[in-house]
Amino acid sequence: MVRQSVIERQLNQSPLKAQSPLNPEGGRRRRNLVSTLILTSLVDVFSILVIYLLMNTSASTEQLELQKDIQLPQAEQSHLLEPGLAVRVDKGHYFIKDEKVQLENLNERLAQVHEQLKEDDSERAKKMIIQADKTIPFHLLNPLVLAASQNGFEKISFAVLEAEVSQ
Amino acid sequence: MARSKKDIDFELNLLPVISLLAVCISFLLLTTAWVHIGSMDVSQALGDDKSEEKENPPSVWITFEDSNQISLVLKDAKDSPKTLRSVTLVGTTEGPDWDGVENYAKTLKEQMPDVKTALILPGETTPYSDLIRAMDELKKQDMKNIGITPL
Repeated sequence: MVRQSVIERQLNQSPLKAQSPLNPEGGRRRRNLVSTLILTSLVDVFSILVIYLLMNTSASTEQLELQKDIQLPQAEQSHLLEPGLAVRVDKGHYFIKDEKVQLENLNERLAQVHEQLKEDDSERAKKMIIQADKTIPFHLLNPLVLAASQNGFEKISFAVLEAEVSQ
Repeated sequence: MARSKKDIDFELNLLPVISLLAVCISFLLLTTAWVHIGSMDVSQALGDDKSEEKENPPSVWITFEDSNQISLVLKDAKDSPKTLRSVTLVGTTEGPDWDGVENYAKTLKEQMPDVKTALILPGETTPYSDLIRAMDELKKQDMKNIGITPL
């Protein structure tokens, strides 16, 4: 008995072969229709997709919610986002962790939040992450920069979009 | 030629592999962040008493002036070249002269590699993007300590 592989068997039973005038089956016409699906290329495509998505996964553990109205500036020499207190300047209004704060109360509120963070998480208390639109003038950021230095934030991080390195 | 009895007919069932890959792809598509947010860090002085005793390291001060003009001044740098001590870059209506800033930073790195500190003095109307661009240009030349002066 001749042992045949799956592919050879399916080729012998293919409808095209049955149509051939030089019928190797000895004149018998078989109507068995067997469709073959070559899965190797599908596996290749899936593997490439998985590899691409794995490479695209960011190693940063800190997440920042992007606002629709805010277009962040771009920078080539940006670092991974590290944990910190997220503050936002949006159309002249100040937000500390999505809580709207008036300019008069900004310093006081930042001091309160800083104290809370020091009790909960000392790492987050050392850093302030500022998110603002790229077109705003510096005098809108100035209160945040001042308040950061007055309330013990050692580092200020400006959230930026990663730009490709120009050559 | 007679076939040996030891021939193995090997078949690989790809369906479990495809199922696994499909699950992986679905999970990764849902969890991947398509927009990468980075950060530009600046250090802030917190007013330590001990800072008065320390000798100030050589630093470059970048001042944003009106009409997109930028002045670059080297401070506390002994034996600095005259061409680097004070430079004023006149910008255009489109923006500051970033090529000039880049060239200055590169020349500074070549001639005075010990200068690793920079202080940015923005104006009231300086756009946030210009501030980030200045920081970016300095970081490209390995300036590790960058600070921003409030108004």
